[in-house]
Amino acid sequence: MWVERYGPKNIKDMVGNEETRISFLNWLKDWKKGSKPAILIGPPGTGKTTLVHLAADELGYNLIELNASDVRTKDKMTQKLGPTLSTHSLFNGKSLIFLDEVDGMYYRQDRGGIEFVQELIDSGRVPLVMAANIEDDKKVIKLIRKSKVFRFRRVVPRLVELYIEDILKKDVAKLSKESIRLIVREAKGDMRAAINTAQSLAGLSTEELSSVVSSRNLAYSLKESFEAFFNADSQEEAYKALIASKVPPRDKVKIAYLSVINSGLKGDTLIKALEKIGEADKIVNMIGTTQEWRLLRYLDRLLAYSLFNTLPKGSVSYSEEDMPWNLKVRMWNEGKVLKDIGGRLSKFLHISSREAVSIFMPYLLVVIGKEKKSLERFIRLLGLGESALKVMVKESERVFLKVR
Amino acid sequence: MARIETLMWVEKYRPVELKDLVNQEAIVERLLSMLNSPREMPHLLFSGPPGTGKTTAALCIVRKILGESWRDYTLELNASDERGINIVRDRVKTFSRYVGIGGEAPLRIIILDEADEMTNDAQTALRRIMEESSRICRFILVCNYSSGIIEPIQSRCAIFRFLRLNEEDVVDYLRHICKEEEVDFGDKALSLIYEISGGDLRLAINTLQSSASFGKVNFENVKKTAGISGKSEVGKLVDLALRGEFKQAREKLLELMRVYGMSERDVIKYANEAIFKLDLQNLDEVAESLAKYDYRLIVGAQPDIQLTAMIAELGKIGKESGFITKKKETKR
Ligand SMILES: Nc1ncnc2c1ncn2[C@@H]1O[C@H](COP(=O)(O)OP(=O)(O)OP(=O)(O)O)[C@@H](O)[C@H]1O
Ligand SMILES: Nc1ncnc2c1ncn2[C@@H]1O[C@H](COP(=O)(O)OP(=O)(O)OP(=O)(O)O)[C@@H](O)[C@H]1O
Ligand SMILES: [Mg+2]
Ligand SMILES: [Mg+2]
Repeated sequence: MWVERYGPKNIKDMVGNEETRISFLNWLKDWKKGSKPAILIGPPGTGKTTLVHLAADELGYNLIELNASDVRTKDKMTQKLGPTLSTHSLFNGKSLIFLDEVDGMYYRQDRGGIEFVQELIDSGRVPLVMAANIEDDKKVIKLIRKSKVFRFRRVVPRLVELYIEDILKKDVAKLSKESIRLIVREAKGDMRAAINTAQSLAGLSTEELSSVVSSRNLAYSLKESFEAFFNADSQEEAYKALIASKVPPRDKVKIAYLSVINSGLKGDTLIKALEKIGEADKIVNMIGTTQEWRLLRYLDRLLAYSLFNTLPKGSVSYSEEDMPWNLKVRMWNEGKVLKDIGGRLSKFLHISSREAVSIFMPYLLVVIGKEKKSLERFIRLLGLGESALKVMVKESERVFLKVR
Repeated sequence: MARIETLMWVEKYRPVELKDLVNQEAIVERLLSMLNSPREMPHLLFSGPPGTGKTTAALCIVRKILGESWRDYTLELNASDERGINIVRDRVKTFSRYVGIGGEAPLRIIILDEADEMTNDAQTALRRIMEESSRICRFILVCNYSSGIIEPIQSRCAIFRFLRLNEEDVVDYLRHICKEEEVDFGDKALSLIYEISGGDLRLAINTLQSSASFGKVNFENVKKTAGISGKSEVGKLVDLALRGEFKQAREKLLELMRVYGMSERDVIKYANEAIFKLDLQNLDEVAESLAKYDYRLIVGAQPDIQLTAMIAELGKIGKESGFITKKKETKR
């Protein structure tokens, strides 16, 4: 993992929050029995945990850490910290207690933990350092009152950028200027996030990369590149055309799908093409959930090769039409109103509003009967108006047509 | 039509006390004994086939614990309408923590209906909430398949598995309703209703009432109503697909999903039901195919693409099994 391999090995190597780092180091240097504890507060990935570890190293402290993954009940904490705190300490050297993620202590699970920390603070026998992400939490507020606070801010973009560039040099990896800028922007001052994203993208070729990150600029030539794709003379040509279309992978699959659907293909060709597109769609979604962006390289090849081998040249042309016009109109007009009706019905029927419309409503309409007056009364009872009535009348006619 | 609540018989005859639930004696007994001391009661998880009384049982419990003003202390959410994590973080969390003034109710209760439709994130977020609020709040989770509920949540609940209702119980119940409503009925018609409903009492009662609205509950009127629900629309979709009418089948799909809001999971569920009722030779292939697409939907693939691909594949299966010719014969 890059965050570990290329993380700062020295306080000097860290970036951002320079003043905070220096004053924290001074606090530890000047610590004497009875001093207030320290609490580090700030957003994730800004170096709180890192700083405490490095400072302890530099000043020769033996660090004893408890974090949110530990059970922090009173008993458990006494067990772990007892030896350090006892006057007959077995340690020859000096110790520092680090309670990381104190905002993640829970009253129920970590029974007595908070009280224990309070006692620890009051005793002031060893240097105590705490860290947290948020400070508007009740527990944290209490701790802040008794501690010296060190605030961490998000690392500014320029420094994040420099740090990433430095890592890339060390790793002999390459990323375009634009990608780096994008990484920096997305990280929002979180160093860990920046490093992680950089690592996950460094394995991709530039073309593939651009398709991941450039979700904004829907390419002007979308149509052209897909036309080129469907008219390619070789697998390789098809692959290149597909890569050139600068859209996010999910949309790529969608456009391939819509083009195939609207081209009047038949029989085995259609079945096979849809099967391949469905497969590609599954992969895109798995990549999305696992964040394994590297797998994207297979996607373009899978789509390109399988469709090239399935579709006769020129049999498909570019299309973005996702449903027939008449259905679109019904979706806009009736669909919306039906959703409203479903929402009201679900309250009375204790079923979901989707089920109320798609499964239940036909029975309701039959029971109400064909008469417009009854429908009117019903719609009024539901607290809905004219447009709902219109739709219900239409639905009622549809249902009674099915009754034979 | 004075009130919506009594217009439909499913609501009118929804039991208000646990003891009136049909054919769930074992469950009712367990529940009643726990209700002696509601504050000691664990969170509950009800699973079982549709229309067997799960939601009804949840509502009975709420009434029993909270009395007449139960609505004030109950949050009822249906996860197939709101399935994401935000609903948990916002509404559920807030409600679970809010301690009413005066404390006139012993508990607040949150009913999460169709909880198996909740995303994993949402369920995960629920874990701590269920623990942290347990002093003042109980959850009743209702679902069709408990396998759709993550283990940590299952482990925080007492689980009750509702049984499919048998023919005798359903027919008895329908007969009882007919007598109350003073409508004529035939026993053969009631048996047919059971067959159509597959033990789903909601569907059975709806079919009963629709038939009754044509005069009386006889074989003919029951048959009339068999084709009206969204379920049979999916049946038509399957039929079109198997006959290789790809374009029409896809339009039916889009109509059901986009106009009527049927969920993709419902489409595949009802397609499943419809197709296994057919007498196809290659049912193993069918099963494999449906499982493949169902799985893809679960991992979050695009429903439109996946279900369309499924329709195309069904066309192939239909051709191979001779579905088309058989269909023509039966029509003649
Ligand atoms: N200021 C920094 N300079 C360089 N790298 C940093 C800095 N801050 C964090 N990192 C990188 O991010 C990783 C995680 O940082 P660290 O664990 O210190 O974050 P944190 O502030 O404790 O976050 P959290 O509150 O989420 O625990 C480090 O291993 C390092 O690679
Ligand atoms: N065991 C039962 N005893 C009496 N009536 C029942 C029973 N089960 C279902 N019903 C009737 O069917 C209707 C629907 O039942 P309910 O809402 O409890 O179903 P459910 O099990 O929650 O089904 P789903 O999984 O579809 O939500 C009720 O209004 C009631 O009239
Ligand atoms: Mg940390
Ligand atoms: Mg229910």
